[in-house]
Amino acid sequence: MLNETAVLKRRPNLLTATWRRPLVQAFFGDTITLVSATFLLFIIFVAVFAPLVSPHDPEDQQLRLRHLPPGSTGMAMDRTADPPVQDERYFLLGTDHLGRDMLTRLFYGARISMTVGILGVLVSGIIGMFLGLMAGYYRGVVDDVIMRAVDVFMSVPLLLLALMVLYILGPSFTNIIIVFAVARWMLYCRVTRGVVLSLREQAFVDAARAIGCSDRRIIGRHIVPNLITPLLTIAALEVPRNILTESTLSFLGFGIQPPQSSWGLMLAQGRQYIVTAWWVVVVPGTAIFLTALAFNLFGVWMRAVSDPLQRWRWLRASKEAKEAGVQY
Amino acid sequence: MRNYMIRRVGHSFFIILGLMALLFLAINVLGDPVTLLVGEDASQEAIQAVREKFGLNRPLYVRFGEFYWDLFHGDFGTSLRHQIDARGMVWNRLPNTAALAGVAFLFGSLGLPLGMLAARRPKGFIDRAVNILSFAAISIPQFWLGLMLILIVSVQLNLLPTSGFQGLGPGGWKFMILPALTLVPVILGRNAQITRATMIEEMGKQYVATARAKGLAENAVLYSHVLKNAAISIVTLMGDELAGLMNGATVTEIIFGWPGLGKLLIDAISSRDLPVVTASVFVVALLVMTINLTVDLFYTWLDPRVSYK
Repeated sequence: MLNETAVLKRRPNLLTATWRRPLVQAFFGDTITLVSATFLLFIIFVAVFAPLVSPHDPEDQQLRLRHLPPGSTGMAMDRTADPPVQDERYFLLGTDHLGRDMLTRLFYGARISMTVGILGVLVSGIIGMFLGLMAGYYRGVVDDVIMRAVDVFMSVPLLLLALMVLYILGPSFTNIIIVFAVARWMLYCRVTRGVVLSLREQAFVDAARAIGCSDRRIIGRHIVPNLITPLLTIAALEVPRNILTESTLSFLGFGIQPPQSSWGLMLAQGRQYIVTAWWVVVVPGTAIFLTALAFNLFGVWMRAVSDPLQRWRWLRASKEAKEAGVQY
Repeated sequence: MRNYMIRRVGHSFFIILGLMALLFLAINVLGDPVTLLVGEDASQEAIQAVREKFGLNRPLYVRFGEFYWDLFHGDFGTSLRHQIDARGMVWNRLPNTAALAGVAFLFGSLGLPLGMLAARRPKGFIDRAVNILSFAAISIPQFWLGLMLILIVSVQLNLLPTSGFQGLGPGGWKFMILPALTLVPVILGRNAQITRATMIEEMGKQYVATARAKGLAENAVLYSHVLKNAAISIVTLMGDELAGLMNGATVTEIIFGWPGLGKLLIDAISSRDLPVVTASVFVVALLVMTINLTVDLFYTWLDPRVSYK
């Protein structure tokens, strides 16, 4: 009886078990990763809930209050009320050249920047994965054609390819996503093909074929699950690259067009006022920098823990976890 | 070896041809060459005139043949805006971009010793510092860094000119510092990361344990064994960086008014100068090809095990 309670006591509940998992331990044990992830969650939160968390309206122009420095208060005219009333407002990050609140515009800009970053990766990842599967699984002519196309696309610098696509199709949000699909699919394609080539020689694929599985089933059930980790690790490092590229394109005038707004476009619009109002350039620039940095640091941690050769550096199972017999 | 080289050059040649075919199809099938030349709100007469002048009324395959014929003769047509030979314009700009990229690449090479230093003791203090700083360096938007440099160095401190170009001779160095500084962090950071990662990976291999076991000093192990083997990957990736410099160079040239290939391309796109766009794309592709080819041939020297069959 006494023994039984002891055994029961020693079995951890779900929460404790999760907490003791090496991956979770490694995540919370690494300050840099933890800070990066928290920052990213914060950015995603303000992007999703921009209308709720923003102090003001992103389009609301207060021409008398333009270029207010960060942390200043101003008497704004509330035109939504009838008759218009004066109302005192606080601008944490100052206002831009049209008297719009920088903080609010930053939150709304995060929507576009993050969407472009993540959607771009998704679209190029799916296309790359599909073509890589075709090339690796069917080999032969299909493989040759796809891999030659990879060679061609790989030999053009990203920005050049992006400019060409936007030059021909015209600048817009959709076309920026197309840019990433056209300019980055090769990355995923090459990795997918490599994985597929090594997998299709393995016994479990032969076995699946021997019992009469269709190609579709073999690819979907046996190959694709093995692709998730390698592709996810590339994707994590591609998101910051996409965000930086989008901001560069928008800055050059080939990206997001007003009235839509992204961080790069905010910078472009503020550029000519840089001498009189530094914050219109510093604020969005810092946002791009910090977001890209957080994604990069988080991505490299993800790559490290998913790489069996590097994993031991990060996953040092706690003594408790070992005793509890956690497998990883 | 000779056969390999011939095949390798043939391969590059094929890639350029493929790329130009893609460009032609993109312009003529996906896009509308008339719109690209005169803009969206041109009059009916203007559109007719352009169609006549550039022979756009002829069938696609005829124009495709002509496009390649001109390509083989190195003829890209005349710049619509400046009325001079497009090829000449591009070649004139090439040295400016090459100089800027070269200087930036040289300073960016300092990332190698940084990476080595970090790799000496993985997860140590220096390693962590180099790791974070290199990630910070590659996360900076280059155009923003350029603007910040102008704001601080030129406007506030009044040390260097904000932008401009006065030749590549001794008189022009002042104009080159800020653009080069804008390009350096990304290369520096990537080089440090590449070196660090490759060195750490190599250090886990058996021959390192052997070298240590036979009593070699740590420095000898690192620099004569590990570095030599790591060099192969490092050179490949640095070649990619050099080719990727074109990305940064374009933005930097725009911000600092540096008359290089990137600025030429952006200006040509803005002024709908199709011949110049085509010529720039061709030259950049040729440049990247040459870099990749050089890196590949560098292998034989670095790694005699690589067989070229």
